[in-house]
Amino acid sequence: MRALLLTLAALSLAPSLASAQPMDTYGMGSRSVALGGAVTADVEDFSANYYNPAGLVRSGELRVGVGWFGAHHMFEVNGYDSNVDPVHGIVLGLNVPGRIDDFRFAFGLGVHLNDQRVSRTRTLPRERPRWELYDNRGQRTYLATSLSIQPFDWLRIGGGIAFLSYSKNNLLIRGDIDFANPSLNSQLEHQLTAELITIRYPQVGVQVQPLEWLNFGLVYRGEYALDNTLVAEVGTLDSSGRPSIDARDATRIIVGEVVIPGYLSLLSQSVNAYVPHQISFGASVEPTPDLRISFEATYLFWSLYQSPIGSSAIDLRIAVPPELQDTIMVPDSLTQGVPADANFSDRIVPRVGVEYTAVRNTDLAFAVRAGYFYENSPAPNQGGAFNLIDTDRHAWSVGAGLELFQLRPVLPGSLAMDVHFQYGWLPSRTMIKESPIDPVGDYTAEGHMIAGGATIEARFE
Amino acid sequence: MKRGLVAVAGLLALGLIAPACSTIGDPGGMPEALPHGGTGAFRVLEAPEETGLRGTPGAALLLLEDAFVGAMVQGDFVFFTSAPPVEEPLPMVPEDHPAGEIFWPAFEARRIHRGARRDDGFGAFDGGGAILTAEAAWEGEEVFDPWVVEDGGVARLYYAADGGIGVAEAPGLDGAFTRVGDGPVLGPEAAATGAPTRPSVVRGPEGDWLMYYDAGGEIRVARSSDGLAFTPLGPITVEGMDLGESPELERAHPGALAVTTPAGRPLVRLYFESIREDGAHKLYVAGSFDGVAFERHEVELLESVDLRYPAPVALDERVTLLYASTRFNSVGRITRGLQKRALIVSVAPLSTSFLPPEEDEAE
Amino acid sequence: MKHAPLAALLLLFTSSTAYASPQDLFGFGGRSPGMAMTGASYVEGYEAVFSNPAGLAPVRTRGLHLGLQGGNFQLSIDGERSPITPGRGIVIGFHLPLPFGDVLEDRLVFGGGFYTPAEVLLRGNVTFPEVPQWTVLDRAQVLAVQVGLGIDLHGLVDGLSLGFGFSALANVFGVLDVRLDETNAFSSVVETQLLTTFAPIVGARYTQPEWGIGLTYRHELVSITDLNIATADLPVMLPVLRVGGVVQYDPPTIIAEGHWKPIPSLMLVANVTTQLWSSFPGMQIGTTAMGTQAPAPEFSPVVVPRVAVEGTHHDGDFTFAFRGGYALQLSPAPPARMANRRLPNGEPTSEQVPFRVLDNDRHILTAGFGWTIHLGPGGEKLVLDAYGQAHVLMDRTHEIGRTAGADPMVTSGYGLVGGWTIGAEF
Repeated sequence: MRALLLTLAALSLAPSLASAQPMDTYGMGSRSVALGGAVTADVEDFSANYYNPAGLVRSGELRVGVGWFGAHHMFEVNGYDSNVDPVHGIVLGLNVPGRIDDFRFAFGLGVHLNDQRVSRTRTLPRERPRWELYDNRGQRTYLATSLSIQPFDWLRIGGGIAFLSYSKNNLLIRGDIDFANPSLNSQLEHQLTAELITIRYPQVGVQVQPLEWLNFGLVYRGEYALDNTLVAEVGTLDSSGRPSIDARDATRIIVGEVVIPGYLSLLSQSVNAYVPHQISFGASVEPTPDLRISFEATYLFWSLYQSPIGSSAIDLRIAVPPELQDTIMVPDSLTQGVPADANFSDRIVPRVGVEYTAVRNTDLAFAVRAGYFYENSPAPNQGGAFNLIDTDRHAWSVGAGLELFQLRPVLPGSLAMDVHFQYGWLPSRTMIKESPIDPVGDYTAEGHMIAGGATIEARFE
Repeated sequence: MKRGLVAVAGLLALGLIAPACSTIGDPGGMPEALPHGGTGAFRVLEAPEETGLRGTPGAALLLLEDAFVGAMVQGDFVFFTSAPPVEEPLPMVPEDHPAGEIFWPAFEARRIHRGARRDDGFGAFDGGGAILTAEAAWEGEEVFDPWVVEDGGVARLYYAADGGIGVAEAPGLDGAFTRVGDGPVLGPEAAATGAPTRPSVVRGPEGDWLMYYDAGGEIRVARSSDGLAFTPLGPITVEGMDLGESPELERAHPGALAVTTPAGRPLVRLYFESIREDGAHKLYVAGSFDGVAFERHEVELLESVDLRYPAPVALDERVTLLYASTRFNSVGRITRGLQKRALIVSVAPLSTSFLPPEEDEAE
Repeated sequence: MKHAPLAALLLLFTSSTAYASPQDLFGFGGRSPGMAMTGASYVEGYEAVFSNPAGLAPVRTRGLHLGLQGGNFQLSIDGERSPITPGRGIVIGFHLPLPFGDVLEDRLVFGGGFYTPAEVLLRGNVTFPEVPQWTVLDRAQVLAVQVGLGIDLHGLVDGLSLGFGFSALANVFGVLDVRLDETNAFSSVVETQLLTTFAPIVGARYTQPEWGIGLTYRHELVSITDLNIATADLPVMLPVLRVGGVVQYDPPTIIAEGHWKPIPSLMLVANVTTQLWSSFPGMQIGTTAMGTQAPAPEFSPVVVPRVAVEGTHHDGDFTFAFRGGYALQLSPAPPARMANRRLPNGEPTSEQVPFRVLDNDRHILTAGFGWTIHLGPGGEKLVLDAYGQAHVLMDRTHEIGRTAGADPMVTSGYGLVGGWTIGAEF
């Protein structure tokens, strides 16, 4: 029976739909964020879906949680606001434990749903400066279902396979463009194939509790990259490579009485969000029943970074007759772009968290929390043509939690309310260009970030 | 009490779930004022909405009768070469006269004018009057190609003449200019052929003065510690790709700009006229850390067939104005139909606007 | 056709090809697809999030179910194959009674169901009107997300339950901007956003030991792609182009169903499903603000009768279920024809174009099997369900041919779908 259940569990390490970038940057769940994210060793609320799915089975309680989170960015380049969009939305989670004979397991659901959008992709001109790790990566939804088992009292194992998507769009436009009055008199129609194509990446974790007051945790999250491809064609070419005038999918430019065949093709391809392989190892100790201290280090394989500088190509062909050469001038500055390496470096992110339960009695428990982590930037000096802006980040967080007991008969368990506040400091960094005629030139980037949120969790015995 | 507490918590939870749920879709923010290296593309200012002057797009100075050619802007003044037409009837222009070139026999000797900034619009000037005419023997008949710098409260005017490049000073940009010395600061020996012309002077990265000038088919540089006594250093070197259609025959008419990057590094940007094999005159830019070895930007600064005498002005560390002369056919009573030139102004980056605030908001 | 039964069998055990908008075409879960996609009056647990969220309410155990679904359609026009994209996907479902006490004891059950296509989370095809397109069958492959809450009104009206839920999809909005950039070269800025769109589902059920009735309303579920393309600095000024369309559409649906158990081990089901396809706006949107658009689809509402049967057999710790069903799925689409283009305000123009939107009436035969292993006195069990469906398209002669000047085309075909789920209740 147990073998069957373990097999079932293995089979059901199953498709979770997850997108980890907002969690990598902002964390999940007020308690875990307040502790600086140093929770791999002993997390047990719904944020375990992200931090360590092994923790889902830890408490043995059915937990239903909901919360809200917001982060605001104050980033500047040369003193000018970079207008990096805020990230805010709801967080939801479930921990559903189960037991068959002595075998304990649990499945969990974790959601971060952005208020504004499910996701956003952006492909920018190649040399345009952008805050590479903040500009667009937080604009994602996180939806994960995970499974956890406890084969022994001191060992918990959990994991999932996450599904994400990248997009490919092909579109074809045909018809007539009126040169003199394109908006009013043009007659165009289109055909579109839009695809969001599935990719998968794994997430597995382990928690080991050799003693009541000592915990260790290890988590691996796989890498993924979201590709964003757009191919657009206006018109079509004949067999000799010239714009066709009478094919079914032709596009014509109408200049008075003159009809000119035209053709425009656009290819834009880039990796829009990349999350590296990462391994986290953490430990937590409880020197006294009311005090918990945790440490954690995460190694991120940023050297495998797939650069957002992708391919771009614009092909414009217009069969301009001689009498219109001065009216319609086809430019030759239609440069093509090829993918370019970002040359990022691996990094280790250390974290520390402290939680002190200031009040504990039969009616309630009140805890205060603090945490800190440091991320050094994986991005090198942007001395070349590209401008992937990033600086180091120091983040300090504080929080508090109130758990109410004695809520029977309505709630046979407890109600927990947590709040957190986080401040992030991105120290100034100057990018020095190798070329004296670089189109962007030297610049200085820096910033601050503030985030906060609250969660409510019902815990059923 | 407990029911109430749980009910409140439940309602709060529902209230947290309600907002938005990924449905708002506001357009994302884009950065303000991205850094810009002054390499273009430049946008010709709208006329008259931005410049206040009607006529040619980007018109900053347009003289009806007098000839106008190379100009530069310093502070609230424009300094330029001009000449009134000769007594009527004007001499006939030969059929093979090159396109875009002023037919100088129809005009008197060139002199240097100064015009003041107009109150309406942005970047445009009035014609003003002459501030320097040829007097010294070494100057010959004409003085032209002004370039003015400010140095410790003194305005210093560099100019070209038959015998080379001279200097005059004034107590301020609006003051009367007095010649310095009895001869040129750079004579014919500083050029490959003929005499040096079109001086453009800036503070170099090391603090000394650098003068870039036309030297008979190439651009050369000279150095000075006091701005008065210059030592020729020879031709500048220019590396880098040129993506222009027609091959480049010659680089001429430099307009230099000294900038300090946000990282505190001084460098020189040299805007120049690229004369192409097909007869086009296009504007390009090159940059240098030492003022002598340059790297060029591979594409032209703005689309045109005939733009000359680039003269840049840095408004701040990211916005650059570029003045240049463009051709037009005169509509004056005396000079009607003659090829003339006018001063136009353009700006980079493209998104910079000088529309009056009400119109800008309406846009 | 003689290989069809073998193919169908294989489909049950392989993650083979499956289809677009699966829950609307084939049902959701492991039990109701084997019973002609009925379930509004009897389905309990995660499957109820789609068929009738009131069916969540009677559940007293937690459940997690996983499965695979696959299918393929063999369609033909004038005897020649007209391929449409097959697909396959993974089914996940869960239900969770909320263990509140006092007045909320045994009252609330939360459930969710997800369908994840194996390769493509969303594929939308918006084609030119003259291109033959199977609009109803080839609806976008799309991720399905459904959640619901069941409310058991025991103690107030025993046997009555209500349910509320919603389906969620994504709309794609985007901007493509081509112009000169800061380096004086042509480049593009592409930005796309996925926004959620929600379609509520409400239902009610009244169940007695020998019979039950259910009523469900599903609001229309629409997914739109809308990309704006703006260009500047090109030698020819292009108007702002708008590309996209309706890439996924499920019509508003009203379901009325009843079931009867003449003996405890036999259940007979009768269902009437009304699909309000007249709301369908058509796939394509106008490319320019003042340009003409594709003709109106002019779909009609359809009433789909369904019948199903389920027999159960208990043997110790095992329960076996044998299921079958039939549905007559009428087509909402008029035949392919010459139709008038429309102005931006929707008014028809005098310009007629071939409009080849294809769909046929279908006979749907289903069969299913269930195996439950009871593990303990607390309701713990393992559940395995499997099903197969055969969709037989009735031949249809259209008004126009496949190409200009050809004889009116005849469309036909069939489809085979299968799937299984396995779950644990605890």
